[in-house]
Amino acid sequence: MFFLKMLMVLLLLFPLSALAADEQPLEYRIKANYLLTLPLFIELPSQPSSCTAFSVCVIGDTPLTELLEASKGKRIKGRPLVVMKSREPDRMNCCHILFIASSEQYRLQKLLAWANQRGILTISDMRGFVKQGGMINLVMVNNKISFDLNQAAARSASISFGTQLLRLANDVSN
Amino acid sequence: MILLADTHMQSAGKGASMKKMSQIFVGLCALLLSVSSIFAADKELLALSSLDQLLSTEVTTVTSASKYQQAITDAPAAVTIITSDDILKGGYRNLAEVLNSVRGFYTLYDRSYHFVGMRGFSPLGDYNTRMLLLVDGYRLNDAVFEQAPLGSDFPVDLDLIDRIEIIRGPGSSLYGTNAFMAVINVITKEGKQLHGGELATSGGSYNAWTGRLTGGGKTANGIDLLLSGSYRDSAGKQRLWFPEYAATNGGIAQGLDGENSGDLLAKASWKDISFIVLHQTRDKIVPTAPYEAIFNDPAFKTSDRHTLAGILYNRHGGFADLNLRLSYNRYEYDGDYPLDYSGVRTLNRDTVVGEWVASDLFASKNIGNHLLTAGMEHRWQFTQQQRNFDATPVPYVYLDDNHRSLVQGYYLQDEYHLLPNLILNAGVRVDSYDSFGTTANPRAALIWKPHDNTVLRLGYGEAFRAPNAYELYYGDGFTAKANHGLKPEKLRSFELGWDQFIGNNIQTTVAGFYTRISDLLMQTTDPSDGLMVFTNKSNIESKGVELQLEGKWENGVSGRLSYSYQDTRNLDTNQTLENAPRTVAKAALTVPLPLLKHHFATIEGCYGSSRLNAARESIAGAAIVNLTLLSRDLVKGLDLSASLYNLFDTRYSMPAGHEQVNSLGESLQGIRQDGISFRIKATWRF
Repeated sequence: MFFLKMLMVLLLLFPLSALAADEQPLEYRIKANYLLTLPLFIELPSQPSSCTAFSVCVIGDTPLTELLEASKGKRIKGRPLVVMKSREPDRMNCCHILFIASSEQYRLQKLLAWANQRGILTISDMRGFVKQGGMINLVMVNNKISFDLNQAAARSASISFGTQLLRLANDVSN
Repeated sequence: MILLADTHMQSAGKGASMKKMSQIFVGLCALLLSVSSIFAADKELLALSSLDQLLSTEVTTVTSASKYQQAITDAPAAVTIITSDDILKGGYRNLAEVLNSVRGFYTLYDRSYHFVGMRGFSPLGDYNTRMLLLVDGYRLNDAVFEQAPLGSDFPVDLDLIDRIEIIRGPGSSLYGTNAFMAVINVITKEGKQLHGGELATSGGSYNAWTGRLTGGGKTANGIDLLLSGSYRDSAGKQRLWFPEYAATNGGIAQGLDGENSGDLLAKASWKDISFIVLHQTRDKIVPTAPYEAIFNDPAFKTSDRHTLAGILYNRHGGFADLNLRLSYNRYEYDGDYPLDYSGVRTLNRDTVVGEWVASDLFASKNIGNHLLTAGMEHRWQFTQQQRNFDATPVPYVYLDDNHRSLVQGYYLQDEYHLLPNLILNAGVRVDSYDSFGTTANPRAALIWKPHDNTVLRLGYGEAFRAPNAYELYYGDGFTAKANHGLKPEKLRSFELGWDQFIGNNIQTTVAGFYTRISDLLMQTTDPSDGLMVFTNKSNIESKGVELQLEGKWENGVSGRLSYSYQDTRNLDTNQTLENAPRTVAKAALTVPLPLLKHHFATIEGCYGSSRLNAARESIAGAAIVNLTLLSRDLVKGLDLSASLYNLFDTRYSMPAGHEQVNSLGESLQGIRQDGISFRIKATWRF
């Protein structure tokens, strides 16, 4: 009886939840912001002249794709933002940034090698990303999202982190 | 907000409570509606531009619910997080006060120890054994009483807490025994959060003084260090009046409420390895003369010492995430009881030593849509010593008992992402004990997010509590006898939860539970010989709902309003359980003070309805209001805070347990709590 009442209340209240907009959790909005903010503090090798846009490529399943697409066209480093998503890295050209979702852990080394050859900045929120050769790892520290940097990995792809970024990082490995 | 809660708090009877509940639902609906229209969510990305802003935005995660870090919204149980900021703004003085601010929690202070209950379950005489207390993931419940030190006996200074994770409901599927009603994991600060030294001192009512010196930081080669020591001393209330004891000294306990404690914490971490050492010693004079002791005798004292040394290796990446934890714990208890042996005052003493080493090893790995965790825990309790003897004038030993025991646990858990918005989290743990054999305890939860801002959780879990050494072996042959044939207590619980996020700032929670406990261990008198003995006796049923509305804004305003209704009864007698308030309600509001920078005022009210004492007499409920003003960086590096507790000087008592009987056979009904009191605290960072 008690639970029935409770269930009724729940069902009654439920339509209310539809009032709240279908917005992504704060965690992903912050991460999406990082993806668009971090490049401002990083020197990236130039991509072929045919690439006029600033391309953020996403591989794997993450709510970030949808969030980034909402910012399409916004100018980053003077170029309009383009978001690409594919399961096959070779289908995406002109990537400036490659975001690798946690679901791609199993083929991480392949993806990192692919990106490194092309001078693409690699970012992920999977655990231990930097230790496995990634360049920027978005990590949770004391309830806040911070980032670890891997300078050695970046250098090997001719990418260099700005001093401000190095100063603000949670951890820098050389 | 306080006013609102207070009007709701008057309800007593069941019918009235249900009516009030529906009123609150309607109220909450109205609030939800108005609030959601004001904070109409904006689909754009946050307008955060600088890295500094991104770095300082808080996101809530929890590590204790599944043994790895996950978003709170993915956790298989209802979780509450308390941050260091909450503790600072609330002006809390001990862990029990912090827990008393949490939805559905209530406390009992018998002027010796603090006891914490939730979901209407905290039997009188229970030493917090049905809650598992962890510090940085290390178990603190000792190896004899398995008591969780949840009050001023908590061995870490509150200033050194980074956050507290509270996982409601059965947690035995990962943690084994004691994870019965809830798991509380206190996570301490790291050295780099201090970045230098800190000196803190406070003074308050009843001649209470504290001092703390802490240093910490991260060296250039990546070693994080923290070292801290603190001391607390309080004379306590000078004259405590117990009308039931009027035959002795007019019922006045004179100068018998003193308490002092000191603790040490040292931490070091480098790369994947971290070390911790903590130690606390605490002494409390007991003014209530329980266990037939002589009233108003200053010799009645309890003393607790906790020691923990631990090492943790935690590696992410590679084939699987690995976590290996090794620890050594020691717990000592001394209790001095002045007794009256037909006119001869005799000092009787309990000394208890529990010592154990433990290991916990687990690995987590992502395979497709599964996140699998497998682990094992071993605890070798190599000292479980209990002694009871008369010290003066005629020495006599009643009990000198020592046991050793091995506890083994093996667990598996799978977080299976069935759909992008549907998670099944299922796990089971098998525990093996020398005394009774094995027990298996599963937990499963389905977490569904129909919208990104809506989380629905349906869960079922089982938990056990193994009979502890005190229950199994304490027998002095005169008042109590041992019972080696005890079985574990068993709990089965269904849980339902709905979390709704509205905009960036508001969160509402509706939760329900239905819990059954069987074979509850209780101390009764054996009619054949008149000795007290523990038996697996009672069956308990508890059901209830919890509602919470929480808001937090960037300008520093935050507020919380919660209401819990629970009905807990003994199924054998069909009577309400002792120490089980039907209604628990809380309200808290923090506002930044106008015109002043970094100044905050927090007002908090906690209400618990009437509870039964051991004699099944009703002890009236009370709403207690506390006020704290916090001034951050008054001058560079100096924080000041001033608190008033029990602002309206409400007179209230806590229910007395079976043990509250003095040497004249008089028993207490309730234990009076403090009236209005204050504390002023200064913290200087250098």
